[in-house]
Amino acid sequence: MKTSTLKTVAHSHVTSQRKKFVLTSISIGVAAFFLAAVFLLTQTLTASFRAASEPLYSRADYVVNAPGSGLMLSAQQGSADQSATLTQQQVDALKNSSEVDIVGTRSLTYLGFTTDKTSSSESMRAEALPDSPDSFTYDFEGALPTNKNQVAIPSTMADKLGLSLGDSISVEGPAGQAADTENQAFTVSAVYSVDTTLSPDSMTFYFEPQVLDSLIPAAQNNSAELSNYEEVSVKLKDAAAGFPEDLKDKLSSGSADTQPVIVSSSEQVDLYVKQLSMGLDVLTYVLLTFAGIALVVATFVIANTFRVLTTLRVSELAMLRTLGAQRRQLTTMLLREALALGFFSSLVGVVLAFILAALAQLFVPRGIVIGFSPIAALVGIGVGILVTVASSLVPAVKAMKVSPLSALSTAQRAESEPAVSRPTMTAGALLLVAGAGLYVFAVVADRPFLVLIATFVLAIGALLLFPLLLWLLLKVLQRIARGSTVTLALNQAVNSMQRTASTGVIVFLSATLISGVLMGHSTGVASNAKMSETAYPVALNSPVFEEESEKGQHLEWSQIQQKEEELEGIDHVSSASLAAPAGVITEGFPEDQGQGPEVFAVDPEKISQTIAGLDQELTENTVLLPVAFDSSLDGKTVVISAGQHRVEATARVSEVGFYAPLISKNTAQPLLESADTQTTGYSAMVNTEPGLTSVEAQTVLEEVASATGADESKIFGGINDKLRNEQVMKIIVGVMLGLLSLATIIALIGVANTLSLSAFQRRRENAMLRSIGLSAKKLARLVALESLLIAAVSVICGIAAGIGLAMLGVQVLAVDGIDIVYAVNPFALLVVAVFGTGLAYLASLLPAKKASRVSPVTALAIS
Amino acid sequence: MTNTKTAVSAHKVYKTYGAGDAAVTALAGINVDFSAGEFTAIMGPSGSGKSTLMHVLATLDTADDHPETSIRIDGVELHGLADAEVTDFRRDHVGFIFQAFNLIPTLTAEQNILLPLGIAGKQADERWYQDLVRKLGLAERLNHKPSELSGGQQQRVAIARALLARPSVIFADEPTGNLDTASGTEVLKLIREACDQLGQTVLMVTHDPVAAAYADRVLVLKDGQIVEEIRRPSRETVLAALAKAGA
Repeated sequence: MKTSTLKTVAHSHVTSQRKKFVLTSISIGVAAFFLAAVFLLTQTLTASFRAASEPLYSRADYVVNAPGSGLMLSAQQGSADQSATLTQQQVDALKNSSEVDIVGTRSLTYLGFTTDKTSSSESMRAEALPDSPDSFTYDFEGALPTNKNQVAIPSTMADKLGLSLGDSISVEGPAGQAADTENQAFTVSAVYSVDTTLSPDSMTFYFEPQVLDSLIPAAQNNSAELSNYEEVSVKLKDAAAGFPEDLKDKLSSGSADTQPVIVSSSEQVDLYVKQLSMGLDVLTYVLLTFAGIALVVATFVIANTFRVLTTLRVSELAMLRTLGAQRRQLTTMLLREALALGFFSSLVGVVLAFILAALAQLFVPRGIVIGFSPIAALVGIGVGILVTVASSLVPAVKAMKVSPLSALSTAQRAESEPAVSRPTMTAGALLLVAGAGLYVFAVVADRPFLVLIATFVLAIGALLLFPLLLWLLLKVLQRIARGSTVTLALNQAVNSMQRTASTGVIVFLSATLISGVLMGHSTGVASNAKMSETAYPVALNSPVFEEESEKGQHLEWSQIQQKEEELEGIDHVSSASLAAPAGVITEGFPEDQGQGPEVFAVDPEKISQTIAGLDQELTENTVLLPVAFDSSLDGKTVVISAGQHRVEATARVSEVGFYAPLISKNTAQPLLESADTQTTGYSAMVNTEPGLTSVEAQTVLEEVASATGADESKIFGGINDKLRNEQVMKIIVGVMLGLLSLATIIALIGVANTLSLSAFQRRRENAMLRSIGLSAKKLARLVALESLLIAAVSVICGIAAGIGLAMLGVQVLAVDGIDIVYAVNPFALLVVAVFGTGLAYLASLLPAKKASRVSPVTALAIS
Repeated sequence: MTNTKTAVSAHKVYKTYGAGDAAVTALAGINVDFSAGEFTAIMGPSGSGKSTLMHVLATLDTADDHPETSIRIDGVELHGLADAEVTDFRRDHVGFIFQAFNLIPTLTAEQNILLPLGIAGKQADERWYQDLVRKLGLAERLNHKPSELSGGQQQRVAIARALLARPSVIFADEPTGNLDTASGTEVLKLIREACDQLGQTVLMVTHDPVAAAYADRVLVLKDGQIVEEIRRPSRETVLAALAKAGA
């Protein structure tokens, strides 16, 4: 015999009311999709790191690590002494052990090299080939090096630099240092397969072992006994017996700081993966934060759906009570519906994420392994269910209060609940007070993290109280409104505050988030501009006269003056001063500080105009030293020499950080006329008007580069810093807005959902309006106008809240010592206002049209 | 068919709404018994307390606290019980037929009929169920949802739902109010048959003298009190009683 229970009722509701749940389902599905995608991404990166690391140790049983290696330090297993490498004795002990089959080494040697295919120097890690070709773990084309003029390169570098078998490279010496040996030429004899740039070997060049020694200057070694190896992989003859104890004893250095760390090959891979994944945590937290925002917006959508649907079902719930259902049974039934909705909606979202991940596998670069982790599915579905059930809890608990008598009333129940319940108002007020108090404390006590917490608390308080503010503003509009349609629309909105608040809160939240990000960005840009202006003594410092200098010509000061005038002719440039190489301080400079610095000749009048805040006048027979120099030099007599020519001057140490010691061109005259003065190193210092926009700053940079003939990459100063930081901020704000767009999509779905449910809920009201003479078209217009008014007020409140919260939040930088310059981007906020209101209005059009189609007779009939 | 066993009894039942000057007395100390298997119609003018009396007797509403108040169904004292206990009792002993049918719109006719027993965690008697469905002419409509049924069919589903659990008493609130004459007559005949053939006790609130004429007894209420009782009522005797009561 069949049965019919409350479970049957729950199931029938979810399946029969699919249309009402569609938009809510989409909200849940989108949020679940994003969550699953975040986990798939992090799992993919972790899987890819593992795939990149495993080949390194595929033929090893154990790895002996230098305690000071980067890997051991990041794993907190090594010594704090970063120079603690493995000693040659330790490496030899391994190589000579009878229990060891094969040994492979990894060195710390980084060298620069050039090729015919590239214009600039590149870096590589130089490694010796393993003693046995069998222990070379990679597949390769060509033949492994067999002589001192050959090298095996990874496919990642071959692809990057366009190198192939037979090409040659020229090794310069340790990366970043002048070579002690002549450039050595090597021919590419093998290209070995490395799948991804994530691999630690993606820039490792393999040489014959003897060759490596000749590439490393003796001075680089701290001790004749130290090797350059940071790890040695070991294949044992009998791995099952474990790492031999006697070999451990031989490797023991006797000092805790230099004790090697021995781990199994699988543990080594784990350590590599952990090291590569270190930056991943930050990415994961950021993405999860935005997923959390999307979930919060989805929560409002779900809560509203269940609130409306529960209200619509009061008669049915009352009927179930008359048939003998207990209060808690009704609550359980509603939660069951929420569970089903949450499960199926998030399942769809998660499945979609997995399908996209599978498709992505076809397009990702070789070496990236998509991690199809079950955790992604569990989190996506689990959180989706949790959020749906939690959001439906309040309406479900309210269902408990339904009296059986309600089943007998056929009159439409008017919405009598206020916009904000007393507990919510109290909570909101308490949060505002607590947040304000915490904020003041955080600012006074210099606690940046507490500033963020306080801002968040204030934001939640504002969100809880927003419906009250919305009601007040609509009441004000009601008083000043003119026109019957507007008045009627406002009346409808004010008289149904729960419905109004449901739409308003979603729009308010979205507008707050987006305008907060925009305000943060514009304030960041303005603060960065000020910081760049004050942190750098000049806006731009550019090499100049490089071509002339290369010809070995000594320049006349008139040429220098001409260039200064040319630079000052550029728009927004306030002054320019050129510095000519004069000589080097050869006497009077403390010996323990090494060779004396180079000194540059400038026009004293020009330099005081160009260097912002220059505190001392550059007088004759004075050499002005920047703030980085020891103040004990102040007042000392120094000698500046250029070949046989000498000039005495008194040193003055400035409080300002300009780039090099300066001397007046007049004082430097004997040096400038000297044939021994070097003719390279002229530089132009340029200062600009304050408050340049990014476009103006970029134009100045380009025109200065054009005037000086220097590559833009060689010009530095406040403008570069400003433009570089602005570029980073633009990317960050772009990414944040992109991620927020997800929450915005959910919000728009929520608005459409709320309005759609509202139209259904108000069909009797609308039918009444139709029956007293309002045409369908006017009714549609009325419903849409009501939505427009609610959206407009909510967007404006959201923008104000976003600006306010951003202003509070950026104080975290002030606490860190950064000067904040508040700036509003009115155009961007106007776009938010227009688009926000417009999109919410558009979302209302379809529900408005549906509402207008209600037949007065059908809707007014007692059902 | 009636017997002398009392199915429902009410003693010193009071119900007042509001307080102070705005207080309205809906029931003013009603004393009444309903015999098992009896079909009783409760009538009266608007505001007479007929609906309130039914709500209170059916445990949908609570009577005012009074030391002598007693409301019993099948001998079980219900006045003063907690909501959960009352709900359990109502589930097992009371059936309802409403003017608005009050079927669950997302369930089929069959699922609606079986729902009360399902909530009680009980299985329906298959033979009794088939018998009921056949008698009420619902065999071909069991898989249809309420929106796919006529008013008369929906009310027959409601009657089947009420009868399936064989409750101690069925409360019918204007069961023919939403039906055309033919459907209404059909429903009243079915209720009558339930009393005659199944010994079902039925209390029906109605304002329709024709409907009341199907009952064994009519009680006329006025101002919260029973002012007249008519045995073996006819349309004419009911109309006269109502006129006397000022309906």
